[in-house]
Amino acid sequence: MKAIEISRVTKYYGKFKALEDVSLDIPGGRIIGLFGKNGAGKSTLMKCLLGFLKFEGEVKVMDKPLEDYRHNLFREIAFIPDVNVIDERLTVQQTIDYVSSVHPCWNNQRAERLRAISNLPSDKKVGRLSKGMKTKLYLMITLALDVNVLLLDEPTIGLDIAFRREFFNTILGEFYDETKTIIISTHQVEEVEHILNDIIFIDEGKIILHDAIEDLKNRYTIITVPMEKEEEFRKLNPKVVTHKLGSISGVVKKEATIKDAEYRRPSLTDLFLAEVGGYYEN
Amino acid sequence: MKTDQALIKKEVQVIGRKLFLPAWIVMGMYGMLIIGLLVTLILPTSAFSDADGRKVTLEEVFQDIFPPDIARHGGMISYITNYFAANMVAALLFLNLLILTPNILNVKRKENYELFHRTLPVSLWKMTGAKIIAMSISNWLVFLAICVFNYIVINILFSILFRSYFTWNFGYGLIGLLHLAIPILVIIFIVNALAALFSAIFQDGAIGKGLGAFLGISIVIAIINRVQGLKIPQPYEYVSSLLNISWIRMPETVEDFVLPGWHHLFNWNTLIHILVGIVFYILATYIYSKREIKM
Repeated sequence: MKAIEISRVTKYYGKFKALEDVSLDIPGGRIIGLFGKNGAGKSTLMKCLLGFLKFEGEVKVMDKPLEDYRHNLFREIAFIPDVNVIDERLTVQQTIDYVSSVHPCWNNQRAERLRAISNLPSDKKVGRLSKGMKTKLYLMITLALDVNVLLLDEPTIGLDIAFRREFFNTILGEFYDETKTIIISTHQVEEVEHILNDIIFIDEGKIILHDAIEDLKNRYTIITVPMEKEEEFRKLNPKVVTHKLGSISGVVKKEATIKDAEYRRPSLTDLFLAEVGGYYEN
Repeated sequence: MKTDQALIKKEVQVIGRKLFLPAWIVMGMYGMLIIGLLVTLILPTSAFSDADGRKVTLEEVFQDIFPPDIARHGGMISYITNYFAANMVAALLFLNLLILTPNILNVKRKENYELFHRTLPVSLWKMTGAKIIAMSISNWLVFLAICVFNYIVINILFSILFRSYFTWNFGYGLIGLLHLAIPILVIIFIVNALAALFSAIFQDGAIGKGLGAFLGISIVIAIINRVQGLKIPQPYEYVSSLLNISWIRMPETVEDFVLPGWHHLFNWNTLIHILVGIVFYILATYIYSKREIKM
């Protein structure tokens, strides 16, 4: 079953085209990274999926058109945006009580486990929490929901490195099972790389790549050759070219070979720069 | 039902202590009154004196003020005193509403709270309704609590103070209070529903822009009426009808207040006012639902 189907979605902000003819099929049970430069259209795409913005085209969530859901869409989807949105006038406990009372998908057992991890002060007003604590509270509340799709837009902003790692390695596991779909948009590519199944690259409002991460990594390699073989190296049309002491490296197609060259698997950042960043050299 | 309760409870929690501003002001007034009384008792120079500077007792002051047949007007005085005491509290309440209601739907939109509430599977009709109901009922309950407190203090104090002149009537006092307190609930409801409508139309500075639009429409209607010789009703005529006290006639007895007062409360006009509030709520929710949510 497809968790999300996006067909020919175009979104304008005034005359600016933020999304152009975006079509995507996102199957259930996958963890997908949505990557793009600032202003590429990641947040706009997420807001279209949530029905927050008007757009041309069609979006289906769990096989149902978006417009059939209205507010009930949020029985299927939960969202963590890149800014604090929790009502700061409520206390932590009031916020939890409120969401647990109005949300039919609230999982109390999971909420208790997450609460123990996040160590949040119950009686404190949200407005008096640090930025990181606010993020923790929102993560805790959102991950306590038994929804099918989770959209995360820079979910770990304001968190320290240790909690960020714990979030992606452990906490997210509390939520995820093979029926759930998670879409993560972040600039911290290396932090999420190990948990992703698929990646989507978006640039200037267009989807330029949607692929399984393993397939993508198998199509490219990083080749390193001595400087004297630079001419041969350039003929391979390398991307993300870097110079090191006496050698030169770049991302090339897997089938490309040079005698005596060193090969290694590219990281997601390398692939991102290769696909989105175009020709890049330092 | 659980959702409705949670929504209303959350709204009351969000309004929080701001609800009690009128209560603090009334307490401040009482504080000043007590200080004034103490000063009057302690300092001999502050005692009452007449135009010639001769010291007079409080009883002598009352004798000058009250007409000789005051004894038969005890009920009417009790009614009027409580009606106008409640009026003063109502004025404070509306000042507080001006602070609380702006952007009732987009509260702290810049802080993105709207996004938090809109990502919950709760119908917008319920969300908007809960805001209006919570704001109306909680403000009214605070208003009623202050009025009841005033009622107890004023009626006990005055019944002792004026016991030599007439019998203070607690029953008519209570009717006077209720004749003002009940329509105030309807007015608060309309004000909140209208604030929600302004808030749905204008995302920022809703009340200012809403009142500006109200004024603009009134001017346009006035010009059309003048130029075309028409009699299109003005919106402010409706507002003044909310505060209609035309039922109050120069009374012979307190009964001239009581029955017309109840009739004024429970008639078609009150029902129409409630329906107008409901129309504002429906329009507000519909317009709000059509708006994009931006961060």
